[in-house]
Amino acid sequence: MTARLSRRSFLAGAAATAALGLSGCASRPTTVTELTAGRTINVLNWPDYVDTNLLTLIPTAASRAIEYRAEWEDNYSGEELFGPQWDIVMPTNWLAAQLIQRGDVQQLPLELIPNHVNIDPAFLTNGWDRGARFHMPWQAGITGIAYDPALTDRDLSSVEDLFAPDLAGRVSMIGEMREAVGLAMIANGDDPARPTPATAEAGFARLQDAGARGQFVSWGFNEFADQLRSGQVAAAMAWSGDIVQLQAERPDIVFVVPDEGAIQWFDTMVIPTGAQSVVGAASFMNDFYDPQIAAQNTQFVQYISPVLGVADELARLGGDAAALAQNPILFPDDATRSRLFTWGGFDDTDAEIDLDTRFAEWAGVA
Amino acid sequence: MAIATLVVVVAAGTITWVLADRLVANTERIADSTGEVLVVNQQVEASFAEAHAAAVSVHLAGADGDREQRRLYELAIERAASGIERVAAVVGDDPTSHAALEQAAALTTRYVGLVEAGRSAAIDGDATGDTTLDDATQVVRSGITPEVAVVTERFQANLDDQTSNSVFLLSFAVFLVVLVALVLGQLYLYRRFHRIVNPPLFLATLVALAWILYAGWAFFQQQSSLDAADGDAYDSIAVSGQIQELAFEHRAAENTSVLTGASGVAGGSEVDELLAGERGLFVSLNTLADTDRERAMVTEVAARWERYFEASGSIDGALSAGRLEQAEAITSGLAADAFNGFNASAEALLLDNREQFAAEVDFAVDVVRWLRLGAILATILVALLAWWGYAIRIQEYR
Repeated sequence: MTARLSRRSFLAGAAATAALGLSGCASRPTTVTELTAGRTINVLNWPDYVDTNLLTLIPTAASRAIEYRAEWEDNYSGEELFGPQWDIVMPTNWLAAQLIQRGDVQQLPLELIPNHVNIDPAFLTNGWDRGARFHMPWQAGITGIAYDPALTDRDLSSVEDLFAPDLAGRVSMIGEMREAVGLAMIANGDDPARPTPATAEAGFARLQDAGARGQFVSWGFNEFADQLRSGQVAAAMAWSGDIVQLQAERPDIVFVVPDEGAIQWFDTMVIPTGAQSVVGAASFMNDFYDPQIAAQNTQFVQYISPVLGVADELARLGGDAAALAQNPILFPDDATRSRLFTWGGFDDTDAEIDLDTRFAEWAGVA
Repeated sequence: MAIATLVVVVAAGTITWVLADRLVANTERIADSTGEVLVVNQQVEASFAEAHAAAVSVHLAGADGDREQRRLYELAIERAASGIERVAAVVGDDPTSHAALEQAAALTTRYVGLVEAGRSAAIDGDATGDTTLDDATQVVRSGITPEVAVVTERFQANLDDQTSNSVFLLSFAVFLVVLVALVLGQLYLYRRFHRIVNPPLFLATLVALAWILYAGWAFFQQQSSLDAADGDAYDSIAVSGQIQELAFEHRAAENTSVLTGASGVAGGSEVDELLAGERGLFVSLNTLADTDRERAMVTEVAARWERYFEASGSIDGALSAGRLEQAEAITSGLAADAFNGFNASAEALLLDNREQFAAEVDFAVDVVRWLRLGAILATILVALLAWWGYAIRIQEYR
């Protein structure tokens, strides 16, 4: 696979990070006292996926050097970087499931991560790691539909709208198989949380049919935001966080979780088997599950936080932060959450990889 | 003297082989059957707890549905059903257990049917759906859980039997007799023929001694591992099971309250006391924990219970104030999430203890694996060396 662009293409200024100081951060967890000063923690993450100020301000940074590399461009090329030279890596949920199955990641030292209790329960029920003994979600997002009402001349609310004739040639799509095929499966009435080769192939076939009719103007990764901004497309399959960012500039752009549902994904922290600084990795994880620190990071990355208490922290901060706490894309209500599907993976991993490869070749993103 | 020594050696070897065979067989049965049954049974109960919590959320969502909860429900039912199948496959020739499992499987089908019927009625706006769902609750509470408990109790008794292998100590006693016989033989030859050391007899003595040391080491390692499996890991698993059972009882009572619109979850505070009280099960579980990791996991389970119990209190408050819709929303939203979080963290603890249990039992199997063959080889070797020793003397004498 060639390298793909990141899904996290944030506007540099997002930040607003600013305003938040860490003076109010929770006191240093007791487990950190077990750390040996001077040991470096090697972290591999997606680009623009952390408020870098935090890397020097979190309690762990006081006793450990943090070597943070934002080189995980996508799950395909990223997997080639994966290995014991890193103490924390952040693959997407479906890849994390495969890594755990292969024994490439180790159990979390939960005795060193008391803030594990702050994981949102929605992330504890994955069949591939019930109770999250091997991973800690970093950020989550929704793949839904974004559109420019001025160009669509109507509201969009269904996955079917991506296939609607009146939008032919004006729809941009994301080249992630599990999200594109997943959305098509939702349109077919199938459940991407429990995909089978048959239902996934049916979803893929639907995409191919629409593609053959010229429905989609392009397949890519984070191009959709620019395309919406410039009016190149009327609608797009889109990542929630990018749209929250875009809305700062174009508040008229609408993001919807379709009535039938949308895809939820998350990137998650894992410790590779053989990692050298497991204690440091645990401390890093624990820090980012402190709601105050997590809130600051959420304000920067503007994706869904898997940490309980972040909304309350943002609300407490007031101003722009409090506004984020009210944003339904960052904090979906129960009704919306009930319409989110997290890709469940095939029982046969090889079959899933085969479909992934064929999809990427067809969409031209391989 | 030679024949007498041989008789002692062969008799001791036979007794040791029989005891070793029983020891190894018991240990393998724990690994292949007893332990698996006990652990999977706890997971079956946990799966039903999760399934029913999700089923109620789906039911309360009515025509709007709740796909995520529906997915959780289906996955949990699949786990429970496959767990029952798994247990049935490893219980062996035990008609009582098979009958209980068949009944549990049949009741599972009935339970699923009731949940579906209740859901269909709820979608149609038919009030009988609530009664049907309550019937489903009773099927789990009064039907499936007791049937699974029958199997658990039987295999708990099996575990106690299979871990009590002190009769194997008899093999040391009989091999001590062999040692004595060999030493006496050596003394006999010394007095009769004035040979200070008969090398083959001396070697036979060393082999017998080595065997006793090896068998003793293996036996005590096996006992130590089984004690850890039974006393640490399985006791934790059992207490986790009790916790999940009580939590499920509470959740079921809470659901009944919401379905009937009556406030005052039956026994709510008593359940909380049993779980989170000063002498509650969380404290017991923490006492049983033998690592910092396990203690951290217990702390998380207790914290997630508190969150759920707080949400449950909100439901009761809403019901008391006559706000049924709010109570339903909390039940299928916040409380369902919190209960799932509690249940998933309890299951993570269960999985950790299951792995510890399996590792301890596997180690116990490994250390006794060669005892049977060792008993035969040691017996043959000691017998041949002893015979050779006497034969040398006899030849010299002739």
